[in-house]
Amino acid sequence: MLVDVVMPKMGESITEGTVLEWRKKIGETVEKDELFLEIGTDKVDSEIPCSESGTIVEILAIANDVVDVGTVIARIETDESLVNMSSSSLKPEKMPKPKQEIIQSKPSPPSIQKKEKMMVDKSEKKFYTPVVLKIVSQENIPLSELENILGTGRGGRVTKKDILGYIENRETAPAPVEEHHVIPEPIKPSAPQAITSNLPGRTEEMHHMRKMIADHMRKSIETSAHVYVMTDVDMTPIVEFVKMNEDSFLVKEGFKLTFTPFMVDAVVKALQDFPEMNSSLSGTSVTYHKNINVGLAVAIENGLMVPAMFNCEEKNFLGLCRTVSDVATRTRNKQISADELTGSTFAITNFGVFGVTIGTPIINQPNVGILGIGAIKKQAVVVESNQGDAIAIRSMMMLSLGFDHRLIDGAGGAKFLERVRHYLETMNLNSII
Amino acid sequence: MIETKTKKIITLDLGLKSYKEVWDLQKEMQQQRIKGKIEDTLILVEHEPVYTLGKNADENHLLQSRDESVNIFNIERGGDITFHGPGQLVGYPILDLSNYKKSVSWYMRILEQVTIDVIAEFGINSSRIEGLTGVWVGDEKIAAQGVRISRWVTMHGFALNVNTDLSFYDGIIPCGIFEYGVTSLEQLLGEKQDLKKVKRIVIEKFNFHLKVENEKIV
Repeated sequence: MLVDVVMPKMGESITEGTVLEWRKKIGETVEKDELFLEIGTDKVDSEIPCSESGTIVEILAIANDVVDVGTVIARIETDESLVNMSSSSLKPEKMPKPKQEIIQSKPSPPSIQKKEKMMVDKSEKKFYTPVVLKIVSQENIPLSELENILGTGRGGRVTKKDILGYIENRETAPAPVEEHHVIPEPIKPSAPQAITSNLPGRTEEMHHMRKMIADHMRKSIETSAHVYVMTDVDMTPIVEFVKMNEDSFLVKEGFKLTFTPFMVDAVVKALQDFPEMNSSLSGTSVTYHKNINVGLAVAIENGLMVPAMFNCEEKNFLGLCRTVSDVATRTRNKQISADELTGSTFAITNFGVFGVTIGTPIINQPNVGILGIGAIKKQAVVVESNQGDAIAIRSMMMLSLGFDHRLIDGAGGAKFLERVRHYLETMNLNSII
Repeated sequence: MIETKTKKIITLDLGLKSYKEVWDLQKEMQQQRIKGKIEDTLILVEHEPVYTLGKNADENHLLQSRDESVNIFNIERGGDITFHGPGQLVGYPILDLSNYKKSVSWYMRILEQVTIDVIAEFGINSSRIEGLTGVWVGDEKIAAQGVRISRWVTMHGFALNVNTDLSFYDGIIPCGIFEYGVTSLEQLLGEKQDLKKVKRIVIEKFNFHLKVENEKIV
């Protein structure tokens, strides 16, 4: 009998575990209660005893795989007499008949090599997971063809990804031609590491923070339906104001007056007008946040952090200046607390400080919007007035708003960004500091 | 619910001992505990300076700038890299969790609570940080945890910085966490603390949270 080995539940709040080590290989026997697996959960490594005696016929999660509790990670055949026959489930008569003989003429040189190798290894059982078999049967792929697919799984096993990649290749490939001198494209396994291994260079593991950022960004892209609207803002009055006041401000406050608080101020006002931009999405439920906690993307050594500035709606302009300076300084000095790294309800990223004009930032989950600030650059623009149109030199800045189209449509995003522009261009600069 | 009747935990205070010696002792005691040949035991010890790396540790977290004379051990507990040294109180409970609760998360939270209560006795508020196992004062780590479990018997445990020379942490990125610093009771209180007193409170809180009577101090 085939017995599933599942990721054990190591505690009430634990939903996943990391496979650290298999002490047994496929084909090896294991005794009931023998320690055969090691898994890791939050600072605890555990040795796991086997629940049944038998032979390991399949391992579905390899070292470092993070697997949900209850997921099948291996299969054990408890009946020894069945072990060598377990590939019998792949008997050709059970498989759909190949539709076209011509498909079989496709195998490429590397695949043939692989096939030969497999012939040699024929005494070894060849395994296909149920999911692969299901796909094979749905797609009417003959068994002979299945055997030609280079597996990237453990021990060359064909994974779901391999079979799907193969099908895609097969479908997009030009119709097979019966000319023997035509060498078809080899079927490539989807192993990413193989691509770079031959190139000269240095390979190193990402730092902890880099891994966290990578994970966070990828998840955000997968989660939100990112769309962008952009607009240019005439920053001339603000630029002149900063120029006029920066020296006295520095003396009075002890830190530099930057453009960021102006952005935060305008964003907070616009968020008050458009509460859905200050919300979070969880599946199909929307949470409208009472407070406006603006996350500020801060570039630091080795990466990036987005600390939140809490309750911005309660702060006047000077309060925002102090908060921005405090949060940015503490983040760069690695003094920011973990609580401050979550809880933002909208984010701002100012890549303009590096001189670029425009960018398309990724939403900081679970927010629904992020504002990218471009560099302020002097430009010749057309200015309309009662005396007619004129060309003037103005300090212009591009704003790009990334938002989640799952919740907010183009009109909503555009209105919000227009409102931010409006608040920046019409900001009352008298007595704000 | 946790039963209170027949459980007892023996405390073993080893004083200052080398890492390797106590590591071997732990492994032996874990096996003996699995076989039911010994009782649940709490080992308390201070180590000679040593860096230890858990199975998933990132070698990059051991910095070039570290003191090269400090020994490094690759060990089998969970967690990344940490430091042990004189002035740091290390606790290695050899416990059969099947007598308490078969839950690693429960156990880790108990260890954290023991440390939080111990630190509170010195008038300092400490807390947990979601997702970052250990005990924190503000955003500085004061106690680290890493455990290994076999057949629900624990080994390794917790390390509380009492009078630890924190400069040793400059040589590593503790637990792979870049963002935060480390601290100690001495640093927070401005003077060296009596390690005997800390040990006494640790034993008291540990037994309290596991709802057992303390058996004896060897």
